[in-house]
Amino acid sequence: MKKVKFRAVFMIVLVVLFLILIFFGKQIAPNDPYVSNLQAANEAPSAQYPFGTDNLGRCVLSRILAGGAASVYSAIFIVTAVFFTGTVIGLVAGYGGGWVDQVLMKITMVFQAFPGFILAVAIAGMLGPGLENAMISLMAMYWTSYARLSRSLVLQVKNETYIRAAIMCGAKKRHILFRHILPNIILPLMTAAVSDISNVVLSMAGLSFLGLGVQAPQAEWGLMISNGRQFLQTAPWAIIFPSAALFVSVVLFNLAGDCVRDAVNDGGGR
Amino acid sequence: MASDFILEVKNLEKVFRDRIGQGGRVEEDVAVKGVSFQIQRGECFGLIGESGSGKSTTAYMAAGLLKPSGGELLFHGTYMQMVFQDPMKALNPRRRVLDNICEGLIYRRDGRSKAEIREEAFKAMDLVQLDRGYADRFGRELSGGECQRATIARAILAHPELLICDEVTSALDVSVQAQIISLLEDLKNKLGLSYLFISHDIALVDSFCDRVAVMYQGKIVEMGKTRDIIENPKDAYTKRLIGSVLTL
Ligand SMILES: Nc1ncnc2c1ncn2[C@@H]1O[C@H](COP(=O)(O)OP(=O)(O)OP(=O)(O)O)[C@@H](O)[C@H]1O
Ligand SMILES: [Mg+2]
Repeated sequence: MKKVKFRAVFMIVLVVLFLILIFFGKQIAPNDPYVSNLQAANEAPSAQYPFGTDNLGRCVLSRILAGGAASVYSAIFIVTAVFFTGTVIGLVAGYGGGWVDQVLMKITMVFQAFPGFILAVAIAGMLGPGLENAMISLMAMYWTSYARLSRSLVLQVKNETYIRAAIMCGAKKRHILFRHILPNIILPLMTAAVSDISNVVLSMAGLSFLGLGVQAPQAEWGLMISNGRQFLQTAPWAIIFPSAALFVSVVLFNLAGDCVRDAVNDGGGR
Repeated sequence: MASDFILEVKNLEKVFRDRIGQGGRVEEDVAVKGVSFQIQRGECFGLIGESGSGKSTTAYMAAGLLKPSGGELLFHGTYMQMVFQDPMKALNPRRRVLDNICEGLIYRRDGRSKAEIREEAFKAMDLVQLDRGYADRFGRELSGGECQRATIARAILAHPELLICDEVTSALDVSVQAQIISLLEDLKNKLGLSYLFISHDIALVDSFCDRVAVMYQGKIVEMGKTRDIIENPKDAYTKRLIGSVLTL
């Protein structure tokens, strides 16, 4: 119990630090991430450019710091949005039942019929490149799992004895939803959401890598990896460091998800 | 007083149609077929029968939690409450015990303030001999017997005229069983409750109920004064049921 709590606090501190670092990335950056210095193109790491420069002579470290917001904050925004919409859709389907359930689940199935990332690529391709369109397409890819999870959780608890007892006491539908069902299903959904942040960060980087997300010259990790590819032989740092940043954030949010899950299981009881 | 009866049940039926059998056909499970009985005010009416005989289904229909497939239900009172078969599942694990108990009154909106309801809930806890110290615990942090006391507190907080008890002791160990039964006796005298008392334990029904109905495969096979039935059973199934206890 104590160990779980300590780990949770530790992870929260790490995540918060990481988020602050990225939030002030542009201010912290040692150089202007958008100023190119062609004389210093593809330069190895040095005191002035700690992570080297890219093919246009821009500071890689500064671009990583500035690009974090597009990767991580947009991922958090996407996960928050799909968490809410998916959970509400699942609640309505599971608790409402009947034809409402059937219609909502058919819609979910249509979205799930495509392999997730292919669906996102298709929608982003249709909407055209850009950060907003990439976010819309990733929401379309990710909301279904929350709808399905929350529906199945609702189905598990909606016939529980304590809900029958509440009905006997005269509880209305809204009381049952907000006092009994939601508190008993929200933790597993939140666990899924925290672990999903890293998936979305990767998917976002993937879209940018394919040229469907953030557009040059804006800094974004996936895009930086994509650009760095051509100069892998001469300037490997331009691809290694953005990849490392991506890796660190993915690992961080995965571990945070595990922590939340452990904390939930620990306090979950029966 | 409108009627001597608090609850009248006439020809109650329940057919479950939610099981899919071979070949995708919807199977019909007749759980209750043509059950009729009446409970007088202040009476303790027992319902006994083996597992699967339809006791809980009858109770749920009487409580209004399950829609009957046929028959009539007449409740000549204002409030009815139910205590459930599995006490551990009858409290919301993620709400505090006091909030769970307060539910008995909180939805009624009869002008009682939250504070008044809490005060009454504490008194109900006293009445069921659940220490007030448990109020701030969560539902999942109580033992079975404590859970059952809390659910009884919630039920009596609603000032019901009829309390439906569905095998309230079968999930508890023997000494706790005895405590709960004496608590129910006590409440009967203090509050003038009527009971629909469901059990498969004949000795328990013998000590607690004025009249009893014996259920077998969804039907009532015999009904009468508890002592008469036990001393002089007419139905073959009742004889077997009583015989099995006597040989123990
Ligand atoms: N939702 C359901 N769908 C289909 N059949 C059901 C359902 N609920 C109960 N039944 C069936 O109805 C019959 C009566 O069940 P019920 O729960 O009323 O029995 P019981 O007398 O309370 O038994 P126990 O002593 O084990 O609690 C059983 O055969 C059961 O399988
Ligand atoms: Mg039962």
